[in-house]
Amino acid sequence: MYLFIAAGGIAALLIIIYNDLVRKSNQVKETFSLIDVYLKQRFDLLPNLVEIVKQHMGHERAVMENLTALRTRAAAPSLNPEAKIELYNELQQAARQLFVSVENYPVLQSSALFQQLQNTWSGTEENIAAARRTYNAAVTRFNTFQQQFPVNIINAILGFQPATLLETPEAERTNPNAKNLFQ
Amino acid sequence: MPFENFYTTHVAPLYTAAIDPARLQKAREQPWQFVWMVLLALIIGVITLWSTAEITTAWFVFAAVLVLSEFFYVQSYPYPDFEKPSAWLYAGIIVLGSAGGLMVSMGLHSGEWVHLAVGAIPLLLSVVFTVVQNPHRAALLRPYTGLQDDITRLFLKQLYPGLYFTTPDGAPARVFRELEIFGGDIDEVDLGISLGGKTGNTTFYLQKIKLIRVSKDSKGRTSRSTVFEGYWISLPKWGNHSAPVILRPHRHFELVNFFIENTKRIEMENPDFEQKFDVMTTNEFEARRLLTPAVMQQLYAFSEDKLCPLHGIYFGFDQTHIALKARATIFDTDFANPDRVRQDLRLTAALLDQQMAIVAAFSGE
Repeated sequence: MYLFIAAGGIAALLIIIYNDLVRKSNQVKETFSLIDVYLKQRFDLLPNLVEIVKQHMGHERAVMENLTALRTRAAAPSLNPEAKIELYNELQQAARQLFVSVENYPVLQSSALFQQLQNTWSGTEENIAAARRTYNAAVTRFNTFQQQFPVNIINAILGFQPATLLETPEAERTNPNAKNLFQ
Repeated sequence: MPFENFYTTHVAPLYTAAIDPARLQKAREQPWQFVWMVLLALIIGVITLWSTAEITTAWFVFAAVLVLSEFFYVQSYPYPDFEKPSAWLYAGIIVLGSAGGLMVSMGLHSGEWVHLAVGAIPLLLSVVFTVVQNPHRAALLRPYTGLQDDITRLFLKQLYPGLYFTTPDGAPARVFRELEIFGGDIDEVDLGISLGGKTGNTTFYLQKIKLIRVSKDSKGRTSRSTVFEGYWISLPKWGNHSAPVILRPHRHFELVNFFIENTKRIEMENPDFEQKFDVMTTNEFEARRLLTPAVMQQLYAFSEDKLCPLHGIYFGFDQTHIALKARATIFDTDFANPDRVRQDLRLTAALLDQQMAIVAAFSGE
């Protein structure tokens, strides 16, 4: 009798832990797909950005070549998640340089189309940052759960692998201007 | 304009101008008039006694003259309009003086000393009531209801030009309960001073509130306890979130609330912030989009304020509601006392500075 109760208890525990692992693993995937959505939004802005920059800054060869190369890579049909993130980080770097260079082109800077593009760009930037933090929180929850007792023992059989945290790019680690925080 | 400059330039001269030397002089001389009036009443009483040889009549005349003297004395005080004695004071003096005088006369007539003693009490009371009316105080102060209006108007105009007084907008206790910022049940809401304001294109309202829980013990005795006391700021929606995000003081896990609340707690990356606040939402991504690491840092700084710390925020679909904990009330001072005014207005300025800093942060100004 007691054996049956103990076996039932263990089976229930296994089911609960397995379901929780599946749920947390799916959360990680779900939150990564959120990043994917916003990365796609960001990559979709690239052709428009290249086009408008070409009109006004065509002679800035380095900037143009960099942007064109990134556009070509972003258009590739099968990019794995790591490649997407790497591409995104490079794109961020290039965009920062571009927006600094634009200050020397007042006509481009005051163009309504460019301003709209810049606003959308920073909007997706915020979304990607939040999605990345949501993903990292889901990964932390999932990894912590796997390492806890008795989940670690059960997981040795089930074989769930820890997920990888996304690192914050160097440029985003700098202190923001407090005045712009709440804008 | 810094507060001290404001006080020296605008408030201090109001108090200096409030002292009217002529009225002060008159107020100093006034008590002597009463002494002369009492002496006159005594002389009239003595003359009556001499001419009639009846002590009852003489006393009655003395009491009547005394009551009339009191009446005219009070009426001729140099009171400012707002401090004129009420009709009750005149009625009290006449009733007490007349009744006392009559009883003493009856006592003298019948020879019963009990009447005499009992009658003397109201008569003496009427004299005391007359004398305690302090004409000095009245003369020293300008009508301070007017002064209070002048000072508060100047205070807002010079230091906080965007602020104005409004009628308190009383939200029912249910609203505060549903916002999930305040722990426990809320049964009553006490409303205090209410201000409205505009900064840039943002209109906001600021309200002193006290949230009260009413409970009954097994014997049916009612007790009231304060759940929250502080300021409630309502602003238009801040951020472009599509799910409610609630920032509330950190609480330990409560199983009951876990099942009742519509929102779930999410863990944030900032450990200091986590120790101070719980972030509740129905959508984790929206909460993280709204509460970036830098915003969390700033909110933590607001919560560390000694005078008026941030208690919680409800980031709603239409409005943002901010609760700031503070017991001090703005413009709560004795305007008759210049030293007290200076101290309390400084406190009001410090409270409003903190509140305006938070309003500015959430209005994108």
